[in-house]
Amino acid sequence: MNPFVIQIILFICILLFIIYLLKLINSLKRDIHISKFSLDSTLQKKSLVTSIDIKLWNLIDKLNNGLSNYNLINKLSSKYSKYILKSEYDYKKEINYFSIKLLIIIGLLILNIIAICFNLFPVNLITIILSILIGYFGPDLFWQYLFQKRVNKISKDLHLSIRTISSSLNNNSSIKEALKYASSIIKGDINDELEKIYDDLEYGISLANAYKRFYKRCKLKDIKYIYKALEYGEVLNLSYDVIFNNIYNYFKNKYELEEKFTKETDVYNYLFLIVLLIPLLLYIFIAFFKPMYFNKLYTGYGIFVLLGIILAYTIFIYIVKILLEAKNE
Amino acid sequence: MNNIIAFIYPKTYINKIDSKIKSLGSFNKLTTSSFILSRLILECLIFLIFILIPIYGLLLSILFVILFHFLYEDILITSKLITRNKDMTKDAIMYFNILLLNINNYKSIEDLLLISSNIINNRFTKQLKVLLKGNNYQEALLELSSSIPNGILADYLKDMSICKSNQELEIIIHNLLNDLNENNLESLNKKIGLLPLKFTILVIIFLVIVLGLLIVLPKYM
Repeated sequence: MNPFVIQIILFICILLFIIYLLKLINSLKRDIHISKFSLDSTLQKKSLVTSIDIKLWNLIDKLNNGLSNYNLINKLSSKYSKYILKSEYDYKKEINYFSIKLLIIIGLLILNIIAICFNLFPVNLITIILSILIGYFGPDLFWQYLFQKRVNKISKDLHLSIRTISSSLNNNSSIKEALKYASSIIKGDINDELEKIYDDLEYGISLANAYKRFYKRCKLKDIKYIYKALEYGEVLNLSYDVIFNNIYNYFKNKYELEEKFTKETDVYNYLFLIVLLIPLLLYIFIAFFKPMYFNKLYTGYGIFVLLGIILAYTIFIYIVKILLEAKNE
Repeated sequence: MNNIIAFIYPKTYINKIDSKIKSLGSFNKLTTSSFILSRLILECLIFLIFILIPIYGLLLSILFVILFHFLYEDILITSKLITRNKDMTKDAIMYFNILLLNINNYKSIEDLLLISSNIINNRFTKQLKVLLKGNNYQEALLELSSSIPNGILADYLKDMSICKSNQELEIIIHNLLNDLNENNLESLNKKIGLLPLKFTILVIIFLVIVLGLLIVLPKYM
């Protein structure tokens, strides 16, 4: 490829990225300004992305017909219930996730066949097996990553929710009123979980079992302490305000330490990002002025060098993540 | 077998290994004699294998035997002790915090410990339940303190074994939780103090490797 062309392409990519960032920042500012003075309630309106999302899920629901008759598919789909938010109960079902995986497998197999017809791939059993494996396990990994992000946000708001519930109970509210109040005050992913706990209480499930179900969904160790304390308190017929005060005192020290650690180590997160970007910026800089410099990296032994760089990045990110983790020892 | 071990190794060393293995708890299947004997046999095997290497055989065999001597203990005992220390401390903090909920409404300390360890099921309470089966609470707490790697927790368990009333126990538990929190704060401050050095060394190694591979190597390929 002509080095001049590489330079042009790099320059255009960087320019487009900067323009996109500026537009995003500008639109966010405008959104905030408009929402302050808007008379329309934005809560009722659904964004274009949400409307498309709902239509897609409804389409997948129609393709589900028949799959739900098989016990094996129902069993395999039961683990996806933790991904569904309360506000999505209307249009999402567990079996929809399984249908999406099947659709992806079928899609990949069709692409495989088309590639074979156009002689892009040889006729090989391995590519077919690989398509099936990627189609089956790939979406699981993606959904699990999204779910883990949500769980991390929940763990940050958990202490706040306990504090809010504890102070409501101390003001002579019932546990349902306290949960309702906490879910109205706290904005975030934990809102959904508090509403699920409230629904469990409405169905007659005890608070300890509701939190146990919460623990089974999120697998957070802090929630394990909450449901153990609630179980103990329920056996001894203790009131919820005593139990929640105990839970709040238990978490108070823990969160104070974590906050202290996070404050002291915040600067390292920025340094870490800068260090990650240095090799990338150097690469772009050198590639811009001398595009042929890195040609040897794309052929022969150069691929091993690239793999070595990716390995170094992975190990560095993993070790820094462990160093900067605010875990209590 | 024990006579062979007593003949080869000094008594202080055997007692040191014994106390470490005891800290691994009652569910641990490793014994002092099996550990020392197995290590001795494996060291002899390694020595014999490496000495057959020509020229450097003796040097390599000595080096690998010394390496194996320390690594074996580290893998089988020390690493497990570190994990057990963390797990037991966390479980004990959880257990004693929940215990404070209703400590004064029990008739005796023995009832309190029995009932609460049946409801709160974790590694700490499993150990306590096993010890409470054959002994009274004083003996059980003393026995438990000898198998806890955390020094602060072990000392407080010994104090708990000699208290007579629930009120005394409550004061001891409050002091224990305060001391453990202070200990956590100290270890956190140490971790924060060492962070700049660790981070700097890591960044230097990373940049040398990546920039060397990315910038320097293509020039000489």
